[in-house]
Amino acid sequence: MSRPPGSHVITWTRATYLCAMAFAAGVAYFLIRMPYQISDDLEHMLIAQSQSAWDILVTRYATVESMRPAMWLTQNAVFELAPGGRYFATFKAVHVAELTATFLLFVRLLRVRTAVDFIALPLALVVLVGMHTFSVTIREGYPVNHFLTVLLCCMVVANLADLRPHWSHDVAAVLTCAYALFTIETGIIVWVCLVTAHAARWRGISAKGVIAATAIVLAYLVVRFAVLDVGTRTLGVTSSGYGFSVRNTGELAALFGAAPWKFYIYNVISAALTVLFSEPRAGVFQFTQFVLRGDVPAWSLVNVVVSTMATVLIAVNLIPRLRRWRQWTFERDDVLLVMFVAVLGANSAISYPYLKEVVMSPAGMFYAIALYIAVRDLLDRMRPQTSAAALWVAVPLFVLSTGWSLRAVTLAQTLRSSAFVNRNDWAAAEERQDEVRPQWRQRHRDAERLVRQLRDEVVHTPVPQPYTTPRWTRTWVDPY
Amino acid sequence: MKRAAPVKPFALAATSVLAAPALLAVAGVVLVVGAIVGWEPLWSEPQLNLAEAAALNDRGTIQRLIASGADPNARAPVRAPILKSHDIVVTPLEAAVGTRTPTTIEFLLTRGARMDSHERAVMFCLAMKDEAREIIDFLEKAATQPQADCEHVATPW
Repeated sequence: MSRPPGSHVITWTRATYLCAMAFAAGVAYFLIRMPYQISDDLEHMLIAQSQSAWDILVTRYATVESMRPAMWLTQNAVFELAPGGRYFATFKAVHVAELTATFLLFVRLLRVRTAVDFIALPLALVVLVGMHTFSVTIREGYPVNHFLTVLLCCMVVANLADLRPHWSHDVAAVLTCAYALFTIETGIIVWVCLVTAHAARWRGISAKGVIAATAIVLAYLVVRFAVLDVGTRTLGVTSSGYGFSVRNTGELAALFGAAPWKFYIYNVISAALTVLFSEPRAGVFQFTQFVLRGDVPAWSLVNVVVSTMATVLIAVNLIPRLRRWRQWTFERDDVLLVMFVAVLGANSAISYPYLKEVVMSPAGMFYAIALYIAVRDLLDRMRPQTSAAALWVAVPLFVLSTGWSLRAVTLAQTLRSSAFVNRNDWAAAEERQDEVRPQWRQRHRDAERLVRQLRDEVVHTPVPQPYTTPRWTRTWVDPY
Repeated sequence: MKRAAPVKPFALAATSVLAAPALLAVAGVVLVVGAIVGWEPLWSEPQLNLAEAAALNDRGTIQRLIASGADPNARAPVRAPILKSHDIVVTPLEAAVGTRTPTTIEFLLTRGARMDSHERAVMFCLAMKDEAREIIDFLEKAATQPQADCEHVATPW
């Protein structure tokens, strides 16, 4: 008995979502158990406790070098909605929901329809999870994880653009763009996704929608720079990696005070390189330093080797498409690859003042999509091959896949280690708050009770002891 | 004689790509199912006493144990290999010397641990033995009397 037409497609689609759920479950397992870091987290919850949504909007729509009203309002809303004062559980639920939605939309974009597509899928997911930019993205909560929000918004807009045209897609895309932009500066990448998808002829969002989103971005820039004069971070405001170490603001000013543009160019190039080659890391040429010292840890070698292999594979897949792109003709995969290139460029450009790996997380996500396309195409080409020489392709593919899987495992270990460090910090929550915000007790009559409640909840959370982790894993697990 | 079927390059390549990531997907499911039935091999915490928590710089456990009534000055056994390769009985403050930083010592002092002259001498001599510079500096800074002669101070290690 033959299967009805399309049943294979449905089977692979279901398997795809199950696979995404399995990976999301694996990450969520660690995420739910890990206490958040105290910095920003506690302070933001105390602000949510002491101010109403309106007060927050009026007083915090813009602060020095940042304009993030949506971030403050989201935090306040989740805080207010937490049932029975179960703040951590509620923020974690939001975090896991964002993570799961991001994974599901990510795999939807890959459009898995055949066995070959499905074979390449888990690799795409381990690249997404194993990319060092994702590790930083996932492990912190402020207490809502805004960088993860940006990833989710990128996926929402890309998926909307991939649908058939409808006015509701325009509305959703414009709102998503605005929300991301007013949540955190990296949110501008969502607009880049939208414009790129439209330019590459995905028509799920109309030209009107793109124009509306662009108008919001322009309005944002005018308000930020001309009306409120919020400004942006420039040289000497924060420390950043340069060469072989992290330089403080004084050192950076001494090095680049006369010509900051040189430092900005360094940062833009380094930001792109870190996604493509895992080197430098936050501006520091770490692997090169290990090589010069003659002592390269296994994890660093794995990171650079598998990133380089993946980038070469992406380049080999992408270059033949350039002729078609010059004629402004795009197949579906082309659109995703163009989005990868555009996001990588834009993401690197906004990293000009200082380097932070988390900022590059959208580019890291699209890198996983680009690698998926490259590996799937390679497997497709290998299908009819029978020559023994073709067997050798399996060796680099095995190294690539296993190496990226190891990097994904690193995320689990990072979350385990962070859990211990974060719980330690929370144990001294009151002393810490006295030190960083001496007036915190006066903000709200229940401020002390809230801090004690949060602290007690964290110290009663079991976390793995670092000494129980086998020593040999240190060689293989990226500690950064 | 029947010849073995040749390995198809595609099959081998597909297996190479799929094997490790698929294992991770399975591991993700196993972790969640395990957690539901109470089996958590990657997220378990051993039961520690106050001295062990101090030796491990585990301020979360210290806070929890003191809040539940544990005596921050009581001697307790620290199991191998937390501090040494054999079990050892020490106070939390003495155990904290093993961390080589004064953070846990300060934490214990603000939560009821007492550092009398004898305890200070023992800690100082332990820090000298371990060459724990930060702790020596901390104890010297807080000292109101000359440090003890370590030849005459009995130390737990």
